[in-house]
Amino acid sequence: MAEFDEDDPSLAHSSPYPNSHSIPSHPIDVDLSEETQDFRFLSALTSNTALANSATTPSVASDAIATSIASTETVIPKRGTKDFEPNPTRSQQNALRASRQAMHDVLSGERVHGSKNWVVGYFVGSMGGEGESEPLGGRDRREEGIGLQDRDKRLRGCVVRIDQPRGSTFRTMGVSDRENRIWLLPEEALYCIERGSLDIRWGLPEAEKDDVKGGPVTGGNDEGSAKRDDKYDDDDDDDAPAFSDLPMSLQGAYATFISDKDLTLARYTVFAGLRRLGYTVIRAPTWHDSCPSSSQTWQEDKAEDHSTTTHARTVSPPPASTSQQSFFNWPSLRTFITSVFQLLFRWKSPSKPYHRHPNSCPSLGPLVAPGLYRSYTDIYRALALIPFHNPTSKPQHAHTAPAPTSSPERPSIQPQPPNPSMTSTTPPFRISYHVYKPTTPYRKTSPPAPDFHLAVIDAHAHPTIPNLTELGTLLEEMPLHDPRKDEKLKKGRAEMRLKAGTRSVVLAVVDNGVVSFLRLAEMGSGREKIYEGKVGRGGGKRSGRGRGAGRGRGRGR
Amino acid sequence: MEPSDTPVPADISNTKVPKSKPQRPRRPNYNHIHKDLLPLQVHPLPVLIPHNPLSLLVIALSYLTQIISPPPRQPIYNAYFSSATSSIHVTDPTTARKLWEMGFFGKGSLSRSEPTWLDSQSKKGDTSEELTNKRREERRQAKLERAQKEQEAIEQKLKEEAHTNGSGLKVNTRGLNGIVSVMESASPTTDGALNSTGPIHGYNERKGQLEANGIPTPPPTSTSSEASLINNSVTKKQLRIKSVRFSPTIEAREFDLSSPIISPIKSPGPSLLTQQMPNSVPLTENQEHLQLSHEEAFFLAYGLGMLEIYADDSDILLPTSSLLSLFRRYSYFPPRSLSMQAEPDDPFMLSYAVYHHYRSLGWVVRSGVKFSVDYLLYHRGPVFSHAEFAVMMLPSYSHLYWSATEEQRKMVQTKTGKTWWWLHCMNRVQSQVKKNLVLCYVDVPPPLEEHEKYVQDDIGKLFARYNIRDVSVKRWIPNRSRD
Repeated sequence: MAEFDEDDPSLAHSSPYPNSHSIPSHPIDVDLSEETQDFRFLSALTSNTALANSATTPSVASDAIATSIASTETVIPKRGTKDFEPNPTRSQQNALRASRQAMHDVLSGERVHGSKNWVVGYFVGSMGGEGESEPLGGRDRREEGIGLQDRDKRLRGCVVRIDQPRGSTFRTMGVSDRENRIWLLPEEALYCIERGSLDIRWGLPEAEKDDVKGGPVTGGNDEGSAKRDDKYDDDDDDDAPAFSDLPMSLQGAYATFISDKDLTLARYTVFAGLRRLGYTVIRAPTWHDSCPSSSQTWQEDKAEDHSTTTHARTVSPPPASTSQQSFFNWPSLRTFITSVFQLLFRWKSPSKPYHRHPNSCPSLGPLVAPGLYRSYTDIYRALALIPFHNPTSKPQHAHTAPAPTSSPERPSIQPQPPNPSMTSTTPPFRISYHVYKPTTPYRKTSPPAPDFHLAVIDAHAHPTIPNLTELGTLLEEMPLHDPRKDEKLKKGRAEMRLKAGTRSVVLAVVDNGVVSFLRLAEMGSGREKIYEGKVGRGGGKRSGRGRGAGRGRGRGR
Repeated sequence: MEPSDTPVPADISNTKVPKSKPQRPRRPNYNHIHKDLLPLQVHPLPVLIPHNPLSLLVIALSYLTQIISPPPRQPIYNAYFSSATSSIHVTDPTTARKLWEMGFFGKGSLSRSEPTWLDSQSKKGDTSEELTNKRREERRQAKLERAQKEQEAIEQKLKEEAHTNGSGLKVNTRGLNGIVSVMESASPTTDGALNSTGPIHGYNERKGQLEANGIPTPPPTSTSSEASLINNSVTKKQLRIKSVRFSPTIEAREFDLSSPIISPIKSPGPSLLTQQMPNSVPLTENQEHLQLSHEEAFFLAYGLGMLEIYADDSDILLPTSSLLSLFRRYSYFPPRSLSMQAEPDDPFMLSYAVYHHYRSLGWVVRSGVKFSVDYLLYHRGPVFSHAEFAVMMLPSYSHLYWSATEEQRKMVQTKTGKTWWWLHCMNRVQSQVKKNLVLCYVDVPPPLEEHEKYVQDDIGKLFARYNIRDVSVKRWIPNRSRD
């Protein structure tokens, strides 16, 4: 359409608002080979009657339109006014053409690698792809030597090696090894190619080809590309010695790096979009679908193990020693603490928080026993009935309700057994990226706690929103930020605390390349007793009467 | 903040009109009117002032007086369940007033939310609905003028260009005229707008038409004697204005006490004063009643115990247990028959669990149908501020029972399968009106087993089997989250 407009301005006007001059009188002028001519024929068909009625003078055109709307049903109604309505003035035409031309010029500019920033990378196939299926083996080998550890663990999934990195791009990207070389993941390599800051060669330089060939090149993440790599490599050996020097094209890069299982197009779209905005985007430990989500232990370990896990990508489960620790020491300590809390809670419960009036009858109502009440707080306390999820408690206790079970006269119903599938996240709803704000100082050697946890979901592969199990386990893995302990939020209004939430996750829903981000946060509304603030403030009789008017005006929004 | 964002009664929206308006009616003192959070009276003791020993005396005195002559018992209000409209009607004006003022329960049947029909009838031309319409009309005019101005500018430009380049572009003003004409045709005439959105002026006429067409009407809102008067006047008026067929059989049906659909005229309200009201001016009679949703009524009856609900076809007081089963059946459409087994995911069970959860935390919960959600949460009430949260209820079947068989899984799939597109729709609407979308997952328990059947009659235990977990949803905009 755009091209057509540019080519012939006189025809351009006929297409949105067909007028009697152009179409019916010169049907031969229309070039049938052009794609756009269909529309003009269609519009000529639908508005024939209107055109017949309308005189050529524009003054009565509005009447003609009224009749045309009445007579033909195919006219799309116009609602309201638009900011940039197409109009037949020449100045608008010129402005449009100028901006189109500017875009053309920008896009057609040749993009070159400057000799100063020219970075060459070598495609090495995928490193340590098999590691994910046998984390134990990887760990064993790790202890033998640092070289093997590099190859199997930290470099897992890396596909491109850069011998002489330049520029600031790689400060937040890639993994560097002992020889100061940088290894890039597929999405990082692809992103660099797209930006024009990396020139990837299909093979390694001749000199060290044998050296790396020993590595697990064949264990590709996606079989297709791996196979093809092998084939190319064979070709390379046989008759094309210069193949390794061939630069990888953008198309070639997409075909090689994007796969269905590992780096999907959806994931890459999200990655590249956020990278372009300046975010630092790092693969999360739960990147691989087959990975067991070592969620809770991982979260717990992360705080204390920062010194030991110095590398950005501890992809496999934590080393044996620390995981042992976390499995035996931490839970026992935690259960101890929780049991103490429960004891305290039980001791406290009959006296204050959920005391039930003796005349209250939860089985038939009313919950609020008739009688004399001093404040609404008592009434609201008596109304507590529906169990809710407490985000700060452990997941196992989610189903035991504080309110009804603690009340003495209620025989407790057996709490529902938690669903076993609630213990680990399911593939689409698990964290694939850790995202850091551009302002967060990020160091590859000791990455800070991520600002956002991101799960990428292909809206066509998984069209339904997560159910409670999927979402609950995902949120359970997120670190807890209790808004009641936050300095600012603690004093603020309850609404702000609720909006901030306790655990939050960002879902990137990709619909055919269009990404929409949603931040889901556990609200934990049951913890915020709204009535407490209200009763203290203006609920009572006296204050309401005394100072009501002035305050009402102030608060009215 | 925005006038479009209002389930807010009139006077609030009035205050948002720019200050150029000279005389604005003073806002009533809402802090005083709505000082009670729930329709139950509390009797707080006076505040102790430490440096004033007299305050101790005052406290002791008031304590003693409360002991010697205890304050009057909590009044029990009456309402009745109307099966035709599937809602609970409160016809007594004082009760309706109380329920609205103390906790914002219910909705006036002829008003937007607060039952103000009678007031707006008395001060015609100055009601909030009419003011809103006036404002809308002004805005439409302004837009029209703007469009015309723009069009003139374009025409001017065209003329200039034609002047400089005579045979250049062909003038095509048709599209421009289209803007204006379509705008005119799209918006209804002033009269139509007033009729459709304002307080219902032609209520009697419309009612007569409805009856003539045989559509069951909600039962008249006042006592039987005056209702007949109203109906008579309706017929007279109707005949005067339009020659609508008004057969005697319909009149007969109106008073047929045995008819199950059209309820007989009842006066369950405690005050019978309305019966003595003058019957000469039927138009100024309060034809409005307060209608409560199932959840509101059940909360008032079961939670607070201050509302007694009667069946509409008899004078039977419905106890809470039968109320529950009634509401469970009526949460389906058409209502389920008595023989059908109640299910743990009856819509009423889920919606009441959500309603009670938020109400018991102190929120003012009102229907969110205007914003395509289930509930709106107001911090203090609709007259004070806009709703902060919009709650969408989602059933969750995470218990193992629901995924036991293939059949169950398929059933759950059909009941929960909401798509991302749906969620985005919902979220877009809420962000447009500056509300936070809350997905409220209600975990549905499995059906009761044999040895648990005793729970069936224990409402408290029944609801204690549900579990609520709420998640707030917000669009995350990378461009604005960078700091």
